[in-house]
Amino acid sequence: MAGHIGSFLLALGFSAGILSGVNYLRAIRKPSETSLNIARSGFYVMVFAVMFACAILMYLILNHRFEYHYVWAHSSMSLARPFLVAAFYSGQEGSFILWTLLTTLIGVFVLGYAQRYRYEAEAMSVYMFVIVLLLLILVVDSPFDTVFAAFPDQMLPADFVPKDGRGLNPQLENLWITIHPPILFTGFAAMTVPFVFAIAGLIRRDYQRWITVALPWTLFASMVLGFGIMLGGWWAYETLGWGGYWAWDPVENSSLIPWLICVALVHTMIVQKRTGVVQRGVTKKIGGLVRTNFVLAVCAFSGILYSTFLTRSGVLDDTSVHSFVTPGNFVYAVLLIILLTFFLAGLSALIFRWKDLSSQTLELKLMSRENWLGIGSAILLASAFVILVGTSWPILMPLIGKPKAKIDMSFYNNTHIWIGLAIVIINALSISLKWKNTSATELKKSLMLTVPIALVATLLVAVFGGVTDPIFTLLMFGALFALTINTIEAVRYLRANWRMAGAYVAHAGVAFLVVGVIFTSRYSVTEHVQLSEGDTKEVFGYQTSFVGRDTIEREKLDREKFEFKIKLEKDGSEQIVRPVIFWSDFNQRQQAFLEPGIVYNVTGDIYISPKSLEGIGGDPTVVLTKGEKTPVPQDSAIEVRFEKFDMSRAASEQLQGAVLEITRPDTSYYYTAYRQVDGRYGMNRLPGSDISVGFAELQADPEDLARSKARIRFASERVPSPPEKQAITLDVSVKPFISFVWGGVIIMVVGFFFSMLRRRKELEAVENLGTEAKPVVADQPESKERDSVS
Amino acid sequence: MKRRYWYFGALIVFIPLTLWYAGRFSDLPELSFAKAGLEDDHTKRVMVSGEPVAIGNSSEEGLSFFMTDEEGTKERVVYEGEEPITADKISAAERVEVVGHMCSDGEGPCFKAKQIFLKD
Repeated sequence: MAGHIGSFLLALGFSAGILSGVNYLRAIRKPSETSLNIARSGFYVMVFAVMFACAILMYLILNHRFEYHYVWAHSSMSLARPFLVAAFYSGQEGSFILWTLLTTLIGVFVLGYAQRYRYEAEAMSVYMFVIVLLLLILVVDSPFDTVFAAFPDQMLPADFVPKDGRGLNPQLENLWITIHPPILFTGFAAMTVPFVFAIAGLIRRDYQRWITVALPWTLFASMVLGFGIMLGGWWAYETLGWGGYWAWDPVENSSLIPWLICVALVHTMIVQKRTGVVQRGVTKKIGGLVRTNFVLAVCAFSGILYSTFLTRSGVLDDTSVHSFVTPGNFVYAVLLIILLTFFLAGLSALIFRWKDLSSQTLELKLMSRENWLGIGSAILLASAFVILVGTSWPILMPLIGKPKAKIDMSFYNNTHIWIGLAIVIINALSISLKWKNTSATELKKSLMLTVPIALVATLLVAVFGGVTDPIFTLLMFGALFALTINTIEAVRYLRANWRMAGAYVAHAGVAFLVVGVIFTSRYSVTEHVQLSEGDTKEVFGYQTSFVGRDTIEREKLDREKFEFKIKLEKDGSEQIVRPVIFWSDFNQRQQAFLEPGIVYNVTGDIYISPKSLEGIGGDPTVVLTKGEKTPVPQDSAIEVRFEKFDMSRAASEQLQGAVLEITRPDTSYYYTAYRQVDGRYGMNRLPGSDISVGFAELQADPEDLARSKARIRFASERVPSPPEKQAITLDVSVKPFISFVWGGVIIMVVGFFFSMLRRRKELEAVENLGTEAKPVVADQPESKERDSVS
Repeated sequence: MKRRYWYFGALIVFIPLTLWYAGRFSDLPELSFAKAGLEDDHTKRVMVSGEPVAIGNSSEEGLSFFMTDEEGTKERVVYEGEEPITADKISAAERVEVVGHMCSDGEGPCFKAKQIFLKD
């Protein structure tokens, strides 16, 4: 019943969304309060329908209603409450419903905002069609399908209720799943807003004012999406044991591409805003980069849709370490249609107005801040394009008749050394320049203090930090140059008016981030080490010992989870690091889940990533297929060939046999080693030697029994085996200044936040008071025509 | 010259340059161990596919296992990649594709894999 209501609500939301969108379109053609009222009513009906559908799905999950396929597939009885809540969006349909919910909720604010700034019909008509197409996916691929409906071939009874659910992937059961996806999807949802205002601007032939209106939202989207991407990196680093925070995986890349476009858009919007004039809500002069801004607004939103298409359509399922269920052809088609619809509709609207826009050109002086902001944006777009090409490579290759191939990570690293260098240099240079134009003398004066500071700092980093590789030294200089100039400006503005400091804080954050990336990518060191219990080895100057293990999370019966205690001793101080290895029923205990142990330090983390756990020592074993032979490990003069299995005693005595041909220099004979079907086996001496053999394991191949293998154990009285011990294999890494990566992103996000508040305040001033060419901020420090850029 | 022409010119150069450069990183010849050993440049990445046999334990040098390529040559593969892969995952696979290069002369006969693709 609840599921039927959920499905009905999704269909209701879809219908109400269409009603609302159509009436908003009617209101554009012929302004009418009736159309607007119907559209608003439709919008609110859709909002409540989506909210109630989400509430029902959450209710079904929290109450373990496993008759619903989504609930069965992503939750279980033993799942703790925070993870039950996370199960809401951990699957394909759930992530779409979360995205729809967040887009809808943001829509409530956008509606009020659009009404306030007289954009309602134009902006909301586009916004409604975005939500309607998201709802279409949910109507097609509903989270309210029953298990009975999901498995029609299984001949299940219609009222079938599984006793328990499949549960959440145990590796996802950590704090980050409750934080990262909602923030990332808020960023996705927020990226809709600049797009709808851009299209609204084109519809209304309002080519300047939409910039002022959309800029705070563009900053909000950049801030939230950037933060979400960073949290994903932190999650990979802290829990998944990838060894790093960024692996250029398609899923990571596909969020980064729209973010880069959005950040480029922020800068080009500022150029247009700065060079145009709006007075009391009316455009007086259109600024530069007007067409660029429309194109970028369309591309940023299309980037989000393309990202969804890449990660949710299954096209990259064999080239990404993230795993997603292939959703089926219909959802694939819907995703492709949504992507093409908005991309082509956006570009068509722009082409339709192209002639209108062609007269709006502006020549910028070479040494003006506007010009360098434009160049900086072009570099950000170059980065987005490079990542787009690399990520799309597995799709592009089959289009030209070549096999699907994943591109190597070094492609991104090699290109981004130069792109990163350009970004930090332009970051610093644009801040050094004035708006409109800068003379050589003024530029020299501006660089007189910052360049020497950056040079000295680079030298110190080279001497004490070991950054001596030429290209990385150059990159470090660029980052420190940007850090110096932005820090000076940020401090200056923070004292006078903190809102104005946003750009400098954000740019300082980028510089900080680059410093962290240089250290971690070029100067991290890793050593592979195997430790058995009680062993001590020296790794990077630390006496590293495996001192024992504890069983953790004993209350969870579906897994065996061990925390391994690795002691690090140096200069009289010691620390225990606790990497984790566990096996779970989730994957039938086929492979272990591995979590790193980390010692956090500002100057560098010690990162211990477990790789495997195994018994070492003991009697040697050899796996043989039929017909394969091996010398006996303790006596190479004797050869053993695996002839065949002997199952003649399986039914009567529960014994499985492996027939072995034993060849000695003087003779050869057949010998059958037996094991019980429950796995027990004995060691029996081969006639005429001190070698004993045992049939340790039958590795059955269910698809081709002829390919089944036998594991044979060998023991010798003459050459006794070392005692069997447990050994853990670890990658021990030192990651210098990785804290700068996290710190840099957080500082950048704070900068975006300041800028967003500033632009919001400016918007109020422009709409109510007068021109926006000069920001209306009373208490800024000495005016050098160098006010904040974003 | 107008600014837009500079940008347009840069775009015309940049797009094919990026595609060409990307192509260099996806050019992955599929070879046997014997042919990979004949490559002049030992560090050039190649792909070898085959069947995993005799999965060994992780050791000081990394996770290693033996695999037989399409020509029936058995070679030791040492995994040096970043994404975590365990021995049991490899042993459960029916076929493997390893991407990397043959070990250099002083390291003994082996293949160093940066990436491993498993086919169940």
